[in-house]
Amino acid sequence: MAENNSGKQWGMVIDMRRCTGCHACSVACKSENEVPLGDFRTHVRYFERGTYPQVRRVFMPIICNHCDDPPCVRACPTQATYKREDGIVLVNDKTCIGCRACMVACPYGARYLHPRTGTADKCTYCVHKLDEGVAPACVNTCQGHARIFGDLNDPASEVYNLIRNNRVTVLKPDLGTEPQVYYISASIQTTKSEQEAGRGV
Amino acid sequence: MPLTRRQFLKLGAASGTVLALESQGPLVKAFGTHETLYGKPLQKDGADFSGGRLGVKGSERKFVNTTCLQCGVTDGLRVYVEDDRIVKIEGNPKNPNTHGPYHVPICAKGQAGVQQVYDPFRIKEPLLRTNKRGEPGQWRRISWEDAVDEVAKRLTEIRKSGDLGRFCFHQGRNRFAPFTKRFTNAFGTKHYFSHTSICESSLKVGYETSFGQDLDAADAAHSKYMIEWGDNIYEAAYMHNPLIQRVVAGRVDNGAKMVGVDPRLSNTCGAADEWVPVKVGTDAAMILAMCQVIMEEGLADTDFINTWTNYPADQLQAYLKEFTPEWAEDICEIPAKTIRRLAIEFATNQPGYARAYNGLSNHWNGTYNARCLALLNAIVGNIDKKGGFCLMKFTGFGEVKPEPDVDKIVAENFPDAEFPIKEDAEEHYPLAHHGSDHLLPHRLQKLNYQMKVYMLHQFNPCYVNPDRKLWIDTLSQEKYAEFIVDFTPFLSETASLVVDLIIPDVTYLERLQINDMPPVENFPFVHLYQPVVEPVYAGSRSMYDTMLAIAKKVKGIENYFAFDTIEDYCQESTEAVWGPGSWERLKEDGVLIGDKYDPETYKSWDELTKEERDSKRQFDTFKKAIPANKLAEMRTKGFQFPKGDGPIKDEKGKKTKGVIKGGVAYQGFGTGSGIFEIFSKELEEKGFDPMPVYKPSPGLEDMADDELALITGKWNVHTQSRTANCSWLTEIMHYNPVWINTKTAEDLGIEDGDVVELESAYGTNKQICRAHVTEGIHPKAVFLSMSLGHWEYGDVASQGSGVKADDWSKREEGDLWWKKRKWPGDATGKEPNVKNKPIQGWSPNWIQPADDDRTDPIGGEYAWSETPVKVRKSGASAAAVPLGLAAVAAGVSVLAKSKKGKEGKSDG
Repeated sequence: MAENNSGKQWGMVIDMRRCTGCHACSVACKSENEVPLGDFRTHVRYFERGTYPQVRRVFMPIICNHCDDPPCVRACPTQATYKREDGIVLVNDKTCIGCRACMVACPYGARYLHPRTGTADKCTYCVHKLDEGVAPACVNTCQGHARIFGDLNDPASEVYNLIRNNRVTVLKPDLGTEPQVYYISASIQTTKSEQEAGRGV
Repeated sequence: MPLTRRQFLKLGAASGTVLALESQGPLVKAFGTHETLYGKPLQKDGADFSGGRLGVKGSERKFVNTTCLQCGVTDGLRVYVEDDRIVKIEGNPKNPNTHGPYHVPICAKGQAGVQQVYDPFRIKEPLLRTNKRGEPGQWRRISWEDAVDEVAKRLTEIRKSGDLGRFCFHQGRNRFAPFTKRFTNAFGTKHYFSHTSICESSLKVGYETSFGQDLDAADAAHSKYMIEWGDNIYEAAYMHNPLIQRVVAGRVDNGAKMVGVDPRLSNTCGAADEWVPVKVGTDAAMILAMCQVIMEEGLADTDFINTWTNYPADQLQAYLKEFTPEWAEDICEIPAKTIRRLAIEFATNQPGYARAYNGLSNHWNGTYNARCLALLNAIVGNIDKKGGFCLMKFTGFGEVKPEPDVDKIVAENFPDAEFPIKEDAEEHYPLAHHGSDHLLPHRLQKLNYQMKVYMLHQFNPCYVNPDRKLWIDTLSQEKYAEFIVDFTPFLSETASLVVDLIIPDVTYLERLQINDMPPVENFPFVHLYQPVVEPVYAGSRSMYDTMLAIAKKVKGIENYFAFDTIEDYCQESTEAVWGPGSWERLKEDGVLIGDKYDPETYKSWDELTKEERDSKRQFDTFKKAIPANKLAEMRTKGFQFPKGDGPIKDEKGKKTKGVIKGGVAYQGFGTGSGIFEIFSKELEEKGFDPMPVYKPSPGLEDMADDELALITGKWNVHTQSRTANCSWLTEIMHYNPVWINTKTAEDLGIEDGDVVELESAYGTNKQICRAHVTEGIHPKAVFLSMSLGHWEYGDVASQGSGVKADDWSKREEGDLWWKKRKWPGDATGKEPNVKNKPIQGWSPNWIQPADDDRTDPIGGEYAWSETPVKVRKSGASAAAVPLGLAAVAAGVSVLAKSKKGKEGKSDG
């Protein structure tokens, strides 16, 4: 697994302070990529925390993490799934045999089997648009600017600076997949406010 | 040597990145401000390329700039077309509302608009009912020409008879009102009904009697403190998609604190910095207490109060004195300490705003609530301030002459014409200027009035209104509606059960019309809808084309419809104000900003620099002096000027166009007096309290100990009815459980996912649904959304219930995959138990009576959120649930039962 240290590396920051839970990303992606009903390349999970009346709700967009050490690539028997030089993990559906090993290997549930082609399908960072200089559909349509996309290696990019200047986490870091989607948690801001709110309520 | 990513992460994790806990404002500004389009390096001027899921590089797609109509907010769209087919919807960068601080987002509903166009259940050609009403329709095809002739014939007959009121027009969603009003005005009927009373009519009346406009344009991006009071801006509410962008920007970039007030933890409250779960219907008490605190603490803007309102500050302080936080605490169940703290926070963290929507006004005391909220803003002096509670700034279109004056037409030509429905409404609801038309069936029955032609415009009244059974029963009877014509492109519940003639419209993506909307950037603009593709079905046509054709065939009104096409009308209307060439530019951009189009100098929103935008935003408009030349123009037009100080009225003496204070003419407010009215003479004259007050709702005061208050609202991926047929949306939210507080559920022996029944003192049918047990709702409230519950409108919307299904659990699932499979996590954050299949979406409308007791006597809004219900575990199994139409058939005449009064218990 060659890790590319220089050159363009596409990645994403998900700023949960900004997510409104609107599902625009889920639907924009479906529309853009003709994702079949019942499957999602990206979706939003809701979590509710607390006891009445101190309750809050957190929205968490989930997407393929385009990992740096992707277990799906390792699992693929035909090398149909591969990581491009610029970091995007893709599936060549001409060589995919639909064995689903990648689906089992992925700890994030990022893949599904497309009912028509019988091949593995997943987020491609809208590579057909990206290669023409247009942002992925989910990024474009995000109400709160919660999905920030860019070159992780470019010091002038927003993703670079957000990662550098915030406490960021990734999903299941202990599994060693090296996800390239970084989360800024919503709880930071909310916790501060809960303290301010005190125990009055 | 550049750091590797691994090294970044190590750095981040180890140091705890000091800046993380601070606001990201300064950092964001370091590499871009609010005003730049972040995606720009990756956004080739709003281009799109085909390739889809196969990742195959394709050609650049063509686009058309138009507008969305999935909800009433009407965002600007850029719709991409490939091979004459709509393939993708994005936002129009030229629309100042949709194009926010960072991107040009379109919400989930808007994105799913593609599915409206290609919905396989669309009605393909005009249909005439062959069976009797009250049962699912059976139809025969009729040509469009014959359909037009039929309607024109009937309208001509009404006109001949002189009894013009027999033509009744009822709009649901309408973004072309000048044209539809032309139709009814030219005809001479004053029976123009709307849906506003099931939306926010009381909020509008409350606001108009305070600051002269029916809604606000809160400047969220520059705000430091936001109170969303019954305003679920994260999911719905007016200006949802444009405003939420600015709300998030205000919170994250500007460090604003957001407080959500609502008995339920909506997404707004869930994401808020603080949730204030007021007891249902008691909001005004808390608002008044906050006003009291602000006054007592010396934090009020007495300057504004004394200069620009009609109630001096010291009198106001005396008035508010008794409304202490302790007094409010007993009513709204929010600790006095919290009320006091929030009041001080609000007043000392300006600019800020307190904004409201349906949650505040869908109560019996809705208008009073709205007036209290307006006062809260006035008291901190944030009216029309940058970052505050701003007035809406409009620009518009021009007249297409001749313009029909309905009063004149009726008075001169039809002196015997009667409008008893309107008169009844005005008699009982004299201040409900935005209608109270959810009471139409009551009025028809009370007055024994027959509408001869009842025309529906994007409206599904038998489904969206409370008390569905009453609507269905009334409209099923010819004695109340002789002929019902509907332009719906989908077989709605109303169409199926009571409509006689369907002349199918196209969808908004295939239709031409012009519109203007309140700007959230305080930057006026107009926009249009235009066909992106040819109508998918040759038999369906824009309802405006149909109305025009009908108009041309109704004797006596043709001179108001001299233009050949809708485009001619739109062009004339546009160029009357914006000048030559403006229509072409409007079609190209989808938007026109400013008030005039000069091809030499015009720049669209995305072409303006940050400075240019800043310079064009309008604040403090009420304080602006009217320039001399404008005053001269007003005098020439015949505007009525006061002797000394007072309001300047238009030539009819009706609308306020300015105000003279201290001898100087200012723009002022649109109220009767021209200034902000804390004291409302208008209310006083009609026997209502002229001051902002808290008056408890009788419906809630009478609630028994074992009853809970049923409140309602929308899911974020759905509107009230028109989106349920979009499978991309319904697959995300199809499970419509009733929300019930954990402790309350425990007391009632209800567990999460249980089948429960809701029983109100009204209606024979109990509402059966599943329970969603949550900490996120007030213990004395239950919430059931009105966004789901179709039994028509296609397979997806009805979730397979259809009228054909005897046992829907056996139906072919087809698109309804959620009945088979596990779902990654629905909007309630849990995985439904697929062993017991989720019950299809239900809604509260069946068990909510719509009568005078549940209508705000001032603003006329329906008190959606005030139905006391008993909640208990149901013995019924999922399969035994009486579904939509079966429920209608099974219900013994609800009309007879309900007349007995609320004390009669249902036994259905």
